Amino acid sequence: MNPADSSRRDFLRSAALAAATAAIPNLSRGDAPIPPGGVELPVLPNVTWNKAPCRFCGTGCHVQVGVENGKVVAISGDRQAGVNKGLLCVKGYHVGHILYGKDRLTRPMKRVEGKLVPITWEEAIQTIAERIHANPAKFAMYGSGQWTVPEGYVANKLMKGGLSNNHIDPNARLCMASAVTGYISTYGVDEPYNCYDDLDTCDVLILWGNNFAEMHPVLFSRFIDRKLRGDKITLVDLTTRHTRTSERADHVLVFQPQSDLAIANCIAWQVVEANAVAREFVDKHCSFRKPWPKPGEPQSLMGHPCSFEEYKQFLGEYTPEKVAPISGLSVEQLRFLGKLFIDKSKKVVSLWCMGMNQHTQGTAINNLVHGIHLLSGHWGKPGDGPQSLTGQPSACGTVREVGTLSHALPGDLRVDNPEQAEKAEKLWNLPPGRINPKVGYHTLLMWEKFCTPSDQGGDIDTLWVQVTNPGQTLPNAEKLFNAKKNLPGKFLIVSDVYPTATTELADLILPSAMWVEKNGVYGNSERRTQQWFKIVEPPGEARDDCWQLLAVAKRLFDLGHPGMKDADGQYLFRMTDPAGTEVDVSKWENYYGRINVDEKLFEEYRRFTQIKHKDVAPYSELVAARGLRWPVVKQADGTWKETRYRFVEGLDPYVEKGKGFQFYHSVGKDDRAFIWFRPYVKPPEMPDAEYPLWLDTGRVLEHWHTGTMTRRVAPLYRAMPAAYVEVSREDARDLGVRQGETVRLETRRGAIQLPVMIDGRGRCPKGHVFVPFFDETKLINELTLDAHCPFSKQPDYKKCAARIVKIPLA
Amino acid sequence: MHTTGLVVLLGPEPNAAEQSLEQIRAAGPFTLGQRQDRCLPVVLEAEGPTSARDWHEWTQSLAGVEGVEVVFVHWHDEGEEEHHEPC
Repeated sequence: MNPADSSRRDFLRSAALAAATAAIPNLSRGDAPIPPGGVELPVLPNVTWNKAPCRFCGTGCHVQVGVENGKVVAISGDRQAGVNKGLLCVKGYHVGHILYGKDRLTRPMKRVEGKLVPITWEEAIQTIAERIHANPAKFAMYGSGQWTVPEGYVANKLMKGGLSNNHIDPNARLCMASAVTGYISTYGVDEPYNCYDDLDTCDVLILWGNNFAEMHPVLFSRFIDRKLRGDKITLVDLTTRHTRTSERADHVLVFQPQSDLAIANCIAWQVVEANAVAREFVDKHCSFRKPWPKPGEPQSLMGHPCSFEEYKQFLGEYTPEKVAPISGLSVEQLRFLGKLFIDKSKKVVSLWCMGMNQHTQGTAINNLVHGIHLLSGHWGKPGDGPQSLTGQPSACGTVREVGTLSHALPGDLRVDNPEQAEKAEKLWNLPPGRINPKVGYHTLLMWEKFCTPSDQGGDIDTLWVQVTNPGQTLPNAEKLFNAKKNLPGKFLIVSDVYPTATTELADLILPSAMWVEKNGVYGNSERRTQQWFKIVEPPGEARDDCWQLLAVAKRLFDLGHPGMKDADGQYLFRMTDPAGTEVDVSKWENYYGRINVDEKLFEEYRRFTQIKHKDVAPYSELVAARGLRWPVVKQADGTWKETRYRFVEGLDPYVEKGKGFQFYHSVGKDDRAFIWFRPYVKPPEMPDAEYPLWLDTGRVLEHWHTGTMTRRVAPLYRAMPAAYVEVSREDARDLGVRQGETVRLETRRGAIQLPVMIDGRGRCPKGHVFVPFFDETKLINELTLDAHCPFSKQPDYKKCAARIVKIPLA
Repeated sequence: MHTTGLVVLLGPEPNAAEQSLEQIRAAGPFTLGQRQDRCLPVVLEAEGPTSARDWHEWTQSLAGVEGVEVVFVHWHDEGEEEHHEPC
């Protein structure tokens, strides 16, 4: 080794040791203050550091990205970040490597006679614009909770404000739409009132079908590390299978799929029966709600008023004795859960993610969990309340806040509410009536229309996908994705960074810049808006998704599409420099030039967020921060203050003095939240004689969703190279299958072959199998069900009927 | 070369924790910092990310170790095998 190498190694060793030593106060004391003057970053020769949120999940950890010679060479947990306090999970640890997979897409490509051939950006943009211009009503956009805020904002404005077309929906429909409808129908407005700080102060954490240890590992550590510090805390894992989370739980309660509805009602029954209703809070701040005028009639999203006596009567069907056989939990276990809510001396947090959201009764179970907290008074105090988590880094920021769902407009407004649409038209300076009042196609309907022949009602002909991989994630994929294969006239455009199951069927592929190859803003699960700057160049001809959208918009303007003009006849996305000179950002050479396009778009969007008290911080404030939780309100001294808890006097600046609590966007316009009764409803497909097993699907620690990024990082790939079917020891014995043996897993929609895993990382109970969905060579979603929640339209990936067939030896 | 800054969280049982600490000290790629209560700052120097990951898992599996937190990672001169096409 030459002296220079040796010296460099010494330097790196010292830097790594200093970083690890400096992180210890955050571990040994969760509320350790950030040192005055900030935190020093590891000093490495020739390495410059910049902040960015991690690219992966909805937690919103911040990292420091070290760059040398134009390449990312180091990642450090950001000690100034309130979310992760300098710590990283195994995916965050490898996040820098996701940029450098060998098969990055670097040139636009078009399918010609079945083969993909490189084309110019000019041809690609012209092709898209011409198809849209020829028939704008038959165009749809499928986006993502990984879109940055400005990307989603441009797509939304282009579609709803420009093309008068609401057929735009994101992949977040598949992961958290039920949380949205749950919040809206409970509080009148979307998104959590609380934040991750609850993990630092709760006494009891209940996980509702949430493998927290593998899906949000940094937050899980944040809670579990409290045990190291001697805190007396209790973790309750309410689950359908044993997971890594179960290994650390104090109580593991394995329940039957779908019976969470009955369990939540049983908890409510016990709270009422024990006279433990938080009477003063409930009388002043809540009202009761039932889903139908009369039992047996169709349920509705906003329901009907209901008296407490009526509510109590409905709950009578959910005593522990009645719920035990439905749920598979014992009467004692159900009473244990009830006591957690009856006991006022301990603070209780409920967390959930896909288990409750990917559910044919997703809205209902969200309503019920909010309800038991409101009813029992375990609500509104730090460390005491319910909170949903998201799986994508900007499912909240770009989908819920920017409003990229097919019914929504930025700022939690709706296309089918005339007053709200008018507000949006004014902010966008559109001619009155430009926004189409008809809700567009939600994800499943959009893909069904795209995969149906045009002469049979398939009225979507051109579909543009950005930052997501529906070929791997749509349920019942034969029907909703693969059917496109043989349909003439259907044109699929895909913007992505790597080849995927979706690009397999693409007619046009656009190579995208990713993560720190572009400017961006994300919004995480706790209302925290996070900004970062471009740090390295994208490979080849890859370009920002936002630029792609703006380039198509400009081309449509040039083609004469009337929707690309505002009420004054100006281009819809006109941008000017500080001197007032127009800058044509559709020209790539101008995109990172005189103006910061992200800042322009974000500041335009920010005006919408003030309508419903969701004020995001100015871009310039976000530049300096590690994210800020909205509403962010300017103080008398000119500083900006974030909000940890909404609807609570003294913590939320929008709660009127003397109110205590105020649900200021309540459905009933009376400042009250709804406590819902929703009945237990059987799932649409259950195991039977032909298909005797429950099939559950989900994620694993090493891979993020479809593995597009993580399967290109060697250690993650090697740690978890392929999907498997997790089978209980009892079922394996009954079926005569061994560990590692390849079997055929079948449902009524399809079949795939998978190796058997018995007692691996997860353990299924008898009659239940689990398959992760990260593996593009084993597409489990060809088997899953597209039945969905009637309100959120979110499909249920967690339960359908399946069977295992032993493959005879050749 | 892959350099990682870790914090090893030692378990509450003193003998098991001490034994694990010895095992880490004896293993080749680690440099140990100053232990603070149950937290031990450690530098792991491995050939590449896969080897680093293996050592990370090994540390995690020790009886006296309750957890391993990652705070810093730097890599350079890694072979092409570390970045690949998945299928």
